[in-house]
Amino acid sequence: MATSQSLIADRKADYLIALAGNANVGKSVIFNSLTGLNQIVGNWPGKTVELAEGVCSHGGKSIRVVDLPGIYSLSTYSQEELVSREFIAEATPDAVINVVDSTVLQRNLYFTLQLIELGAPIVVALNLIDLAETSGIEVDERKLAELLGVPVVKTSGATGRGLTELIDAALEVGRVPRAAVRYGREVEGAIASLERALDARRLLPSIGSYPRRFVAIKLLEADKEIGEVVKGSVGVEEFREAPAAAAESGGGQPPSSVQNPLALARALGWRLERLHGHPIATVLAAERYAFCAKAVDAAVLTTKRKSRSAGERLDTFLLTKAGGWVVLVIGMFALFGAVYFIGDRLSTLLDGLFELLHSAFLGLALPAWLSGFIWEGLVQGVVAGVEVALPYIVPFYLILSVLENSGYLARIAFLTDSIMHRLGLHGKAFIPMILGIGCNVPAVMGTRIMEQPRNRLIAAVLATIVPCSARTVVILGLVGVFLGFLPAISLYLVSIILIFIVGRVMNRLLPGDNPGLIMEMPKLRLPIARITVRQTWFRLRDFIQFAFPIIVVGSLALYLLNIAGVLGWLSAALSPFTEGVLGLPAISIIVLIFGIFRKELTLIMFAALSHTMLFNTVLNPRQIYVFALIVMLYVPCVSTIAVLRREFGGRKAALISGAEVVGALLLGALVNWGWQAFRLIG
Amino acid sequence: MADRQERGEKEAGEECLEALYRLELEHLPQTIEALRGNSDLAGVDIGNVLLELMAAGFVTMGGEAVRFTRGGRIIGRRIYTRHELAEGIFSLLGMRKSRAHEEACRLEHEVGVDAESGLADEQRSLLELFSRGAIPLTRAQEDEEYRVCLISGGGGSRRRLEDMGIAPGTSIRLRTRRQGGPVEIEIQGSRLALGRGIASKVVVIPAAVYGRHEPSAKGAD
Repeated sequence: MATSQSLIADRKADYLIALAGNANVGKSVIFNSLTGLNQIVGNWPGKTVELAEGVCSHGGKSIRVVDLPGIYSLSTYSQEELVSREFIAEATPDAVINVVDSTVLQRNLYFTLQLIELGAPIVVALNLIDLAETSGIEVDERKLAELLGVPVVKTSGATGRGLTELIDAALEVGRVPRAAVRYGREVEGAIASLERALDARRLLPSIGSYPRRFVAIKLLEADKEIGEVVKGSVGVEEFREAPAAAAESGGGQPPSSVQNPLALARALGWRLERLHGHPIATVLAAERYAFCAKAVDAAVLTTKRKSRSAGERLDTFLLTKAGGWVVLVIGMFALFGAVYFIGDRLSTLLDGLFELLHSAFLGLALPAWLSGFIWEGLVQGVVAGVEVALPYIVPFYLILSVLENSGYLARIAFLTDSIMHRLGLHGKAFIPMILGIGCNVPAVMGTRIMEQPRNRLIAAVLATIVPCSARTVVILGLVGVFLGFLPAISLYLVSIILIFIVGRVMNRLLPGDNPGLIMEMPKLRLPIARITVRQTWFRLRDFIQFAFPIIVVGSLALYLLNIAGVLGWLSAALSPFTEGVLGLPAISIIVLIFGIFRKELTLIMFAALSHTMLFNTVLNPRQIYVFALIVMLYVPCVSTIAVLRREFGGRKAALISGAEVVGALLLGALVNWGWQAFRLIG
Repeated sequence: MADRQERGEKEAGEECLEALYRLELEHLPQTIEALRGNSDLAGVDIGNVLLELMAAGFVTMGGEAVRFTRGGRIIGRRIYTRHELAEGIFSLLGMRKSRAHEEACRLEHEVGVDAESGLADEQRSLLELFSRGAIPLTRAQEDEEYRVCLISGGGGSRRRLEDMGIAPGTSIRLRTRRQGGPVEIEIQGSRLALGRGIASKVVVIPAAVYGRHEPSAKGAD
C-alpha cells in the first residue's frame, strides 16, 4: 500500500487537514479560500489521481490542506475513491472537513455516514448555506450534530462566512470513531461476527489503520480492496472455499469453526441477501439513506413551497430538443467566435511585441551561431507557444470556466448524450471534444471525467482527432485562403466523419462496454467572477508548466538537427515517398516534422523554406488540399503526446501517435491519387 | 460477447411476444402465469424479459395481465407466422410434429439464458412487483411520486446508482424524458441525468402503492 509522504516533500506543518465531499459542493472554493495561491498539485503514489495541496495559517499555526477528489462514496468504483480512503486511513489527517451541499443535504449525508464509518475525525461544513437560506431551507446544525455525533458548522465558501469557525472546530476535533448508523438487527449481528473473526487475527499494520467496523462492513459488501488486504494477512493455507459452500447450501448458521473472515463474510452476506432479497451492498445503502431521510426530517425545515421558478423554467427549456439545441448551437458559435476574435487580437498584439523584441535582439549583434542558437533554437519555440497557442487558450479556459460554474456544461452533456452514444461514449464525453477545438492538451486531460479507463481512452483518442486551434490556423490559412470556404469546410467534415468511424471501431475492438450516463445536474446559477478567474489562472498555470518545457526542448532539438543537416538529408532520402506517393514537394517532410511541435509551424516553416507566403505559387490546389489534410490528421502535437503518455502510458501514446501518422499519410496518398485519377477521367 | 448476449435477449423477447400472440389467438388469458407455464419459455428469465419489453414499449402490465401494444402485437404475429411457416416446411420434409416444432423454435432463435437459483429468485420478485404495478423508470409519468423498488441487472452501474442516491425505498421523480435519450430525475433533493439504458433498469412503483407494502430493508433504530 502507498505511504503517506507529503506531496510537497519538504513541507512541515503543525496540522494536516483534508477536504472531502461530493462534487459540485463548493469544496474547491473553500480550498482556495484557505490556501490562496499557495497551492500545488501532486499525485498520490501509484495512482493517476491528482490531489491539490496547499498551506494556510490559522492562529499562528501552519496547516497543510489537501483537497481530496469529489466523490460520492468510499467503494472501489474508481481510483478517486480508493485514494481518498487510503489517504484518510494512512496519512491520518488531524481533521477531515466534510463539505456538504446544504441544498442537497439528504444525498450528501450518505457520504458523511461513510466517512464516519471510516473513523475519520470529521467536521461537517454545511456549505452553500446562503443559497439554502434564500431557497427557504433552514438547517438546525445543532440537531444535526447531535444526530451524527460530529461537529457541524454553517459555511459559505463564496462569501467566506463560517470559515474561521470551521477551522477552529477542525483543530479541536479528536479521532473518536463513532457509529452513527446502526443497521437492522441481522446486519449488525453479521458485523459483530466479522469483528470477532477479525479480532482473532494478527492484522497487518495497514488494516490496523482502518477501524474494525469499517473492515467488517466492507468485507460484507465484498469490497475488493479490503478483501485483498485481509487475504494478505490471513495465511494462504487457511484460505479455503469449502466452509463458505457448506454455509451457503445449509442456509443456517455458518459453523462456528469458520474463523476465516473472508469466507465468513461471504457466507453471512449470502444469508443476508436471501433474507432481504437484495444484494447486501444494496441493503446497507438503503438503510443509510433511510437514516439520512430521518436526519433531514428532524433537522431541516423547508419553508418555501418549491414551485417552478423562472430559473427552473429556463432550465427545462434548455433541455428540450428544439430550444435546447438552438441555444447550444448558437452558444457554441458565439463561444468559438469569441475565442477566435479575442485570440486573433491578442495574437497580433504579441506578434508586434515579438517583432520589437527580435529587432532589439538583433541589435545586440551577437555572433551568428550564438544568435541563431538563442533565437531560433530557444526563443522561437517560446514565441510559437506564446504567440500562437496562448491567445486562443486563455479566452477558451475562461469561457469553459463560466460554462462549468454556471452549470450549463451539464446541460450540454444531457443534450448530446444520444449522439455520444453513437460514438460509443456518453454525454460527458462531449466536453473533452469541445475542449479539443481549443487545444487537444486540456481535452485529453479532460477525459478524466469518464469513469472507466476504457472509455477514457476512446474519448482521448477521439479528442486528438478534433481539429484544435493550431490546425484551424492551417486549414483556414492555407485551404481557406487559397482554395475557398467550401474546401475548408470539407476538411472539418472529414474530421467529423473520422471521429464517428474511429469511435465505432474502437468500441467494437476494445473489450468492455459502454456504461450509460450517470451525472449530477447542478443548479443553474450565475458564476462568480472571482472564482472563475482564479480557476482559469490555475488551469493556465498548469498548462504552461506542462507544455512550455516540452516546446522549448523540442524547438532546440529541431534547430540542432537542422543545423547538423539531418533534416536536409532526411528530406532528400524520403523524397521518392513525398513526391511520388503524396504528390508534395520534398521539403514538405521537414515541414511536417516541425509540425510535430506546433502545427502552425508547418505554415511558418513552409513560408520560410519557399521564401514566400503566397503558397499557391509553390503548390497547386491538389497539393494544398493534401498537405492541409495530412497536417490536420497526423500525429498530435508533442504536448498532446506528452499528456497522452502521462494519462495512458508510453505504449498507448506511441500507438495512438503512430496510428494517426500512418492514417494521415494513407488518407493523403489516397486523396492525391483520387484527385489525379478524377482529373484524368473528368 | 455483448453481441451474443444482446442477441439472446432479443430472441427471448421475441419468444415471449410470440407466446403472447398464441395465447391471444386461442382466446386464453395473457398472464404472467401462462407465460411461466409455456414450455417454449423454459429457462427464460421472464421477469427481466418483460422489463425490457416494457421499456421498449411492446407490452404493458396490469396486475397479473400482460397486454400487447400495437408494436408488440405486430412483432408477436410476425414471429408466430415465421414459426408456423418453418414448422410447416419441416412437416412436409417428413419430420415428426414434436421435432418440427423444436426445430422451428431453434431456427428462429437460440434461447440461451442461464437459470441459476439466484436469477430465479430475482425473477420471482420482479414478477411479483410487476403484478403490483412496478414499471421501469423510462415508462414513469413525469412529475409523479414514485419509490425505487430495485435495480435490475447487475454490475458497476448498480453501485454507482446507489452511490448517487438510487436505492430501494428512496423517493424518485421523473422530471424530463427525452425520446430515445437520457432522462432527468429528482432524487433525495438532487437532480440526476441518467442514460436511457441505465434508466430502464431502475424499477419503480407509484408511491401510493409502495406505502401499502413494507420493504424488507428497515430504517435504522
